[in-house]
Amino acid sequence: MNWLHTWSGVVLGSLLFAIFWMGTLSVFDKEIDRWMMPASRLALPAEFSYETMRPAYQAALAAKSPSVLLLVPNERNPVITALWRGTDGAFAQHMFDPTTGAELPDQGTLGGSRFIYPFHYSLNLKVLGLGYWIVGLCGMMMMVLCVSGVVIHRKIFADFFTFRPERKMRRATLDLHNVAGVLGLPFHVVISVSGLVILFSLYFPSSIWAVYRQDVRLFGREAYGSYVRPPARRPADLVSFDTIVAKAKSVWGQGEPNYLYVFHPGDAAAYVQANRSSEDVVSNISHMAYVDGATGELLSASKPEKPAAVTQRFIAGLHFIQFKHWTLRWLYFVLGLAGCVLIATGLLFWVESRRERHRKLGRSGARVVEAVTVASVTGVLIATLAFMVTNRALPLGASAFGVERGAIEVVGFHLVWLLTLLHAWSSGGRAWIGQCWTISALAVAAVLLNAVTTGDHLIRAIVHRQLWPVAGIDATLLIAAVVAACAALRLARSRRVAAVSLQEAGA
Amino acid sequence: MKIFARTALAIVGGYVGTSAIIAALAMIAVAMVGMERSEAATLGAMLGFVIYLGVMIWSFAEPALIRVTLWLGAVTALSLTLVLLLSRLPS
Repeated sequence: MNWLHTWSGVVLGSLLFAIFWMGTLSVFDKEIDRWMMPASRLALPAEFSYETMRPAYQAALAAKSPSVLLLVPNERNPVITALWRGTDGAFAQHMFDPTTGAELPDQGTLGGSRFIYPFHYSLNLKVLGLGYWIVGLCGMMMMVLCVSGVVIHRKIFADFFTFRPERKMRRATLDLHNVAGVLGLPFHVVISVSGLVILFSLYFPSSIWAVYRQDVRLFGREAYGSYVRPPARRPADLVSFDTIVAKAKSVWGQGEPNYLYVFHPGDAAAYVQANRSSEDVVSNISHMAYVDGATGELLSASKPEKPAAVTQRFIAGLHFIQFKHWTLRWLYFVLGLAGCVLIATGLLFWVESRRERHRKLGRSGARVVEAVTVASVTGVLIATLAFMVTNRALPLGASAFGVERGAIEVVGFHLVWLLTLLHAWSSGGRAWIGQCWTISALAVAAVLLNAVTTGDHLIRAIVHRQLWPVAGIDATLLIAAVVAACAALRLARSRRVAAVSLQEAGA
Repeated sequence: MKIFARTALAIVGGYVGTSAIIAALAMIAVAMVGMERSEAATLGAMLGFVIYLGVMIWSFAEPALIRVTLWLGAVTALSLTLVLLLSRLPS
């Protein structure tokens, strides 16, 4: 079990860290969106009329899109978000003001919900869906690591109370690994299992193939109560969105929809799929009502879910955190960071316990792993910060070599990440210090740039309720800057102490 | 080389074996227990993660790799036979 834990950890640790880091940030993906899309820092109207979504619908209709998905504004995402297929055939996302219904200018960024969040579950690798499978395998290996880790630590309760930061760096690293691992064990297990269970039909489709055989598509209809009908090829107007929502609510009783999905806009056979928001429950329920677009009559509604489906939706809901609970949301964030610490200290311990030995033997193992570890721990933090700084440093509509800002941010992220690897390789163990200082500087730069380009500095953001997401991001960035600076100072000091004791030993 | 074989058995063999087992379990649940198709498929896929984890840990922990290979091969073959037999039943 020991070699299994050591070697699967060192092989997959870097990827696992990236997945955990992006997942931790995804807890606040909507808040990152607000930070990166200044035009969307809006207040929710006291009374929201669903008819406010009409201009968004009309725009999709004008583009002759076969369908349009309208996301209902909510506390974390206060704009009307509409997704439709443009005349060029590609899906595009548009934002509309929740009070007036007017279209907001394109914000030229993928932001948190379209870059950071998909990175978490697919690494943004779209070829053959490869990213999903890599992340899935990492999820399984995280489980293997949790089990083997517990087996190694028979003295699990003693480990729980053991933290010796004053001892040697290597000892402190291992203690921190154990504390983060034992304290966060329930979280690490649940977050890995639930992440996998979300995509059960992708990862283990054989049970679906077995029972449905040739008509696999029926699974969606039977498990989720989805409904389809072809267009009538006759024009007709869509009834009021308020009527549609009222009809849908007659099915659910309480609860607002979180989206309205209009199929065949402008057609006499248009229909609207309304899904009940799950902000008041843990479970990621799909309570759907299908309403006729031309008459406002109810066409179909999903039936109450059966036990296995209820279980799956609950486990998925644990991971999606779509419920409204700020304390729990922060707890997920903190535990996610604990997961990052667990993975990073595990990698560090591997390097620390081999560095001297490998150098004496002339082996490059520890050096390679250390460079990769630096790049995948502090490197991905720097790349993320560079992604945010680029967003605020370049004006909206900026482009270079025919590449728009949204794409520049993504290229910048990857380029900076690569640079951190080169830096880590060239400067060895000292790279930690330099990269910690870089994190600190970039975090402060991000806060300053936000204040300069949008005027929403921290004090102003704290005063205005609709700017709280910005205040939260800014405050977290400042805390990160302080922590990174302290880490850099401490690392520099312990290197000096080590150098002095080495000299004394030599003399 | 031995580690490579072990890892391949755990990851690839474990996945193939698990897929066969859950397919058979889901079909048994539908044909003999009378569970609804969507429920059996969902339950089977969720059990897949648990079974896969068990097979992975076992293939890493068992000293005699041949034992895991034979057991996993036998259970997979049995599951596939069940899938074939049950798919001949009129649905």
